Amino acid sequence: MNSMALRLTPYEQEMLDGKHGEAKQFAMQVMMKIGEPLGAEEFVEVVSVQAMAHFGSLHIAGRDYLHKLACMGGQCCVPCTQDPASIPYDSWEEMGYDPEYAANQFHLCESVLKLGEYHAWSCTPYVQGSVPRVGQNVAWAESSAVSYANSVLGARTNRTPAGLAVCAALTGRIPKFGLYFDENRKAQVKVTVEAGELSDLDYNTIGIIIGKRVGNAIPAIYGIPASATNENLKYLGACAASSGSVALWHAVGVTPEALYADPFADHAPTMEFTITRELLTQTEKSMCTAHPGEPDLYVTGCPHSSVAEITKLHRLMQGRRVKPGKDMWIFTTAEASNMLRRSGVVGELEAAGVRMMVQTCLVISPLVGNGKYKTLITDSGKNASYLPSEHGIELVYASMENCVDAVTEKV
Amino acid sequence: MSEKIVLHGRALAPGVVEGEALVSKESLVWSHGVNPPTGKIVDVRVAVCGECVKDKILVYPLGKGSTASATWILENTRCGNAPKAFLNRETELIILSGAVLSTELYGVTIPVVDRLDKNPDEVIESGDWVKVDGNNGTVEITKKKDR
Repeated sequence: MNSMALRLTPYEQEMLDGKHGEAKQFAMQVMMKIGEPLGAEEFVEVVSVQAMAHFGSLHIAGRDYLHKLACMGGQCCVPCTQDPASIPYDSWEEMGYDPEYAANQFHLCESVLKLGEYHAWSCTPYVQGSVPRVGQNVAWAESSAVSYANSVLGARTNRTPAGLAVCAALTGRIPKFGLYFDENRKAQVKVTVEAGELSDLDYNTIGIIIGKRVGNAIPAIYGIPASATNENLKYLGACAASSGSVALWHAVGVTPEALYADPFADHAPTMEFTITRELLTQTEKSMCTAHPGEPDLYVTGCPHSSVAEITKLHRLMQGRRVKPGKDMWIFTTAEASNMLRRSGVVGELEAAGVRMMVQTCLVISPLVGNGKYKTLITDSGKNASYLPSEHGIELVYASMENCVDAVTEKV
Repeated sequence: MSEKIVLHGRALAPGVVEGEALVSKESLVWSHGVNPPTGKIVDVRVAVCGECVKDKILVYPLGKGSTASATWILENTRCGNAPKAFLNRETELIILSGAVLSTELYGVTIPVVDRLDKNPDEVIESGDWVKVDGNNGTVEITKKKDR
């Protein structure tokens, strides 16, 4: 192999030598085989890990892998959360999931709890208390969470793959390369947003445009107001990570690494473009599939809806209910759902025909594409990027207001 | 006489294999893009949709899409439908993790080489015979017409 040697601290060497158990040794061996050829010269310590344990992507191979690590006695040594499960644990039976599929997800759940991961099951660990500070190293999977950690929080992570993230959780280490280095975090592409006042949906569309144009480069975005909400930035990042592979972006005057200094003070951008209102409108239209019918299902919460977003939806639902024959699903964390249940919001939404989909995700679940729903409507640009190709369904991409209108009626 | 094209690149995962190339000019997504029980590419957005990756020397520019893709590669391996090798302009962590875990968990060696002298997706065409040495990063190509 054409690589420099990877230097280990005494403790890292002990883990590799098996002095701290079989699981840590396995994890170190895997990370050595990845870090060395990529030219990593050392490991970084990470303060948290976002892993994955959903059967829809781990399959039997991933299920057996996590079971193996659990049987080896593996224990996470840093806080470890994981992406949504492939089933809603509390309602999979009534929703009609295949029992064998559900059993595989429960098997995965058992393994990750044995490994000491949290019962988190969300793509938004940063609203569940896993909040790294500026400059801290983490090893997160989940492209939207990676984007949020790097860009909004100013923490550092590469796009850590499922299967590797758990190795970082077991050892508290990951090979140092890519976005763990200062010099690899500089903006490359200059994006100017000149589109007047921005709606919630606009932030999704901006992300979609950026992902398509820049691929995996690092954009600096000019024209995002400091009043943009965390949810706006969540969607911008999630969309740029799903229409492209953007792992880090800067919003000038908004995100920590571009708060005070001009990202292009010491170097010129490799590419520049402007996002106008016309481009937003045109892109919005292009995200709808060719032959949508009347929407029969509204899905929101990709990434998981926050308390604020569900509160907004609840407000829009005042005096309305889901039309017979149509459905509305909110994908969210157990924490947000519990808080809003305590305040009565969830009870009212459920009475109006809305279903809370807790700790799970539509993109990775087998629910859509079984023929029950023909046309889906969503205010998530990430859903719009993934669902038509992955589930072969017609899709309308629209604002939350229009989504609510499409599937509800006045009481 | 058939002439061989020899390229040199960065050896990322070891092993020596040879086989028929399957080339995609577009980046491939494994997550929901390749069906593990069949090894077939099911992503309708790419031109190679419908092709099977099993036992192929799989050539494409970059990895993209979900960080879940590594376990999709691993499941292809478990099902016996993994490609023989990966050649990319720039391999990313997802592909390399999938290859390394395939070796560690299933004993299946999948050499990975990137940063070759020339872009592999431009030099190699589907159907070419390709020998990949993942120990030293050498790639030997026999064009389809010379086979």
